[in-house]
Amino acid sequence: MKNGEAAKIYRSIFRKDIPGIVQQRFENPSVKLESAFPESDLIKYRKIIDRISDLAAVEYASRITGTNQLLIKKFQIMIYLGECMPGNFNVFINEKRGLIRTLLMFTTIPFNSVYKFIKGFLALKIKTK
Amino acid sequence: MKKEIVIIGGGASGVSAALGFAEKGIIPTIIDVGMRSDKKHQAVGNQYDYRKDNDLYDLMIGSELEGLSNVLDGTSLPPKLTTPMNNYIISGSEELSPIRSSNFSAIQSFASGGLAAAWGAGLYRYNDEDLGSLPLRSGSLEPYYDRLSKEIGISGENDDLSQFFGNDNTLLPPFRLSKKAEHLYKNYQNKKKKFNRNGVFIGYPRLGVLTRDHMGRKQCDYSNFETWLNDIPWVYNPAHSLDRLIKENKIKYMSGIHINSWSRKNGEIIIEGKNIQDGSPFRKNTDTLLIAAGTINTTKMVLRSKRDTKSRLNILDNPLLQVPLIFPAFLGSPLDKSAFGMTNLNLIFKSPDSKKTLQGSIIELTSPPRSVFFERFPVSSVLNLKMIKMVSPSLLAMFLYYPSSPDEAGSIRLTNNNELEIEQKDYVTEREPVKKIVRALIRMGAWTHPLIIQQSKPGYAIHYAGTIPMRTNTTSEYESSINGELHKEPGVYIIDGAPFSHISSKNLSFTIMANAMRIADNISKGK
Ligand SMILES: Cc1cc2nc3c(=O)[nH]c(=O)nc-3n(C[C@H](O)[C@H](O)[C@H](O)COP(=O)(O)OP(=O)(O)OC[C@H]3O[C@@H](n4cnc5c(N)ncnc54)[C@H](O)[C@@H]3O)c2cc1C
Repeated sequence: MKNGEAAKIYRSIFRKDIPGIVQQRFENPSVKLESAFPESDLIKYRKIIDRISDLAAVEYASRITGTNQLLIKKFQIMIYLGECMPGNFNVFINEKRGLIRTLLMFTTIPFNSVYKFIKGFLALKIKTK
Repeated sequence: MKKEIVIIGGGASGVSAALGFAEKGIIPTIIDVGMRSDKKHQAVGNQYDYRKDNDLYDLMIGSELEGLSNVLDGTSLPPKLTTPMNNYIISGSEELSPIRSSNFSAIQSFASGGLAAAWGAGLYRYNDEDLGSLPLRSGSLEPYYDRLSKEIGISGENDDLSQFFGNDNTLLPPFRLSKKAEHLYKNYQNKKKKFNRNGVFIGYPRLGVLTRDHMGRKQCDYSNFETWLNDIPWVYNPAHSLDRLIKENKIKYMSGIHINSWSRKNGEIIIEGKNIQDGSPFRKNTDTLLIAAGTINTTKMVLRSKRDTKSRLNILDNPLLQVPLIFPAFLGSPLDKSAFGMTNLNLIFKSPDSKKTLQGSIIELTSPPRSVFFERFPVSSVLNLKMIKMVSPSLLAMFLYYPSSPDEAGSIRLTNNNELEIEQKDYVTEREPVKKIVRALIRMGAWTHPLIIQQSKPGYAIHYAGTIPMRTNTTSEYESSINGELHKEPGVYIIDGAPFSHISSKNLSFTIMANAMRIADNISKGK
């Protein structure tokens, strides 16, 4: 596995350190997934992982532009693996009423999305040449 | 001497025929691939209490990475079929019956219980309008619907939808609605005259899910484990009846056998296949063969028996729209952990200015893993997680089914290397009714918009039918009689979805089952 790949992806999504067990579990599906992609995609993917720190921005820009499927799928795998952990219960499940928090989140969506898209898009252009 | 009756397939249709024979004291032999799950899990209580303290890997992902199959293989299987405990339902499909198709997502089962081991158990009686041009009237199915209802235990209510679903005095009480479904239903009730004038009717679904203990099976406990665990006792699975019939010596059951075709010698039908464990050949003679391998595999068997790689037969499925329903009143609300995580309500759209009657199944989304919502929102991954937490509790989904007839059919063909090829153009669905339904739903407190409604890929409704149409007088070798007998093939009966050359927007399986039992009844009269 690429140096710190799983840890980096996990941190981008969950904003915390990856539990050892998730790191181990990520390896198998990751290898399986990579075997379905051509070498050129793997090379680009490795550049993204090695050179770009805000992977969430790159993943978002890739989703919008329909590129870098490997990165997008690795994020999806990590979401599933993350949901398995009881420690992430509160990340996925809401137990308290939070209308204000939700409305606030909605107000940040346009700014966050534009910012993340531009950041990810530029990072891809500049750092993966 | 009369030979024993052979049924191929241990799914909803095969088991219904076996139940019909059992009532007449006839012991048929069921030959089935019949995969079973060897996995057991000790998860108890409510899913959301369980997951607070327990690692979900074995339930959600599994040693073969089943839970990631949609991500890894690019498929879009319903969540239940990807969980490690339930993946057995579709296992073996690629090896036993590969299908080539660019645009039809065909799902097959070689499990005991068949596809119904994973179904939503929406069980609807067809009326004459639903049966359309089929040479079959609802009156001839009614006694079999009644008998099957007793076996299955169907919950529901005689309400506004009885005019479409029929009045049924055998219904178990309906489910406790989830909070959002209750909200929607109350708003519907308050102004229902107006909604009805616009063609929109809402009521309880008819589900093969128990709200009371029945036939030794436990009632639903609102645990939300339906997607995750196998053999949930309150959701009817034909394997429940199959196991009972085996135990009571009312059928002979041979599993692990894959049938390819039949041939004839000296007037006898010779069934040929192989043992899937060791590949050894299998043969059995009979004079009465009922084929219930599911529309796709039944069709394959018929084409193989006739060594026909030229003919293209029609295949139907319901065109399906997936309609997300967002309830603004529930934004940011806690997840309804004890909601009933399957279909809560049905919507029927029937209006004089629309040719077709549409059926919507309004589904609570509390049972599947939360990860299935990831990237459903066009925002970054971090915000996606927040949306999953704060917005997904305010969502329901409606599966809106359209009827289907031969002019919308795809085609199915056997290739030279014994694979199936299915072709289907994208469905063209009438959108005017959708606008009316959307307007009505918004008035009931659920927000949605035609732009966020997704049309599913053909095949996704998993109600396959119409390959071997039922006719009053059969004229071609791919037609069956009202009694299910295949044209010029005395003693060979087609008893699953294949004879239904027209499907209503109401889920088809209960009618397939009633028809299979009816055919069995007719055969027993001659025995
Ligand atoms: C997720 C999901 C949800 C659904 N929800 C609903 C719903 O709410 N309402 C509804 O009406 N329908 C629903 N359906 C569809 C319903 O499950 C099917 O229409 C129904 O189960 C078909 O039953 P069948 O017996 O005709 O065929 P199948 O279920 O396909 O069973 C075929 C049987 O034949 C055996 N078999 C196949 N080929 C061979 C062979 N060559 N040799 C030997 N044995 C063979 C298999 O082992 C299996 O036992 C749903 C399906 C799915 C997957």
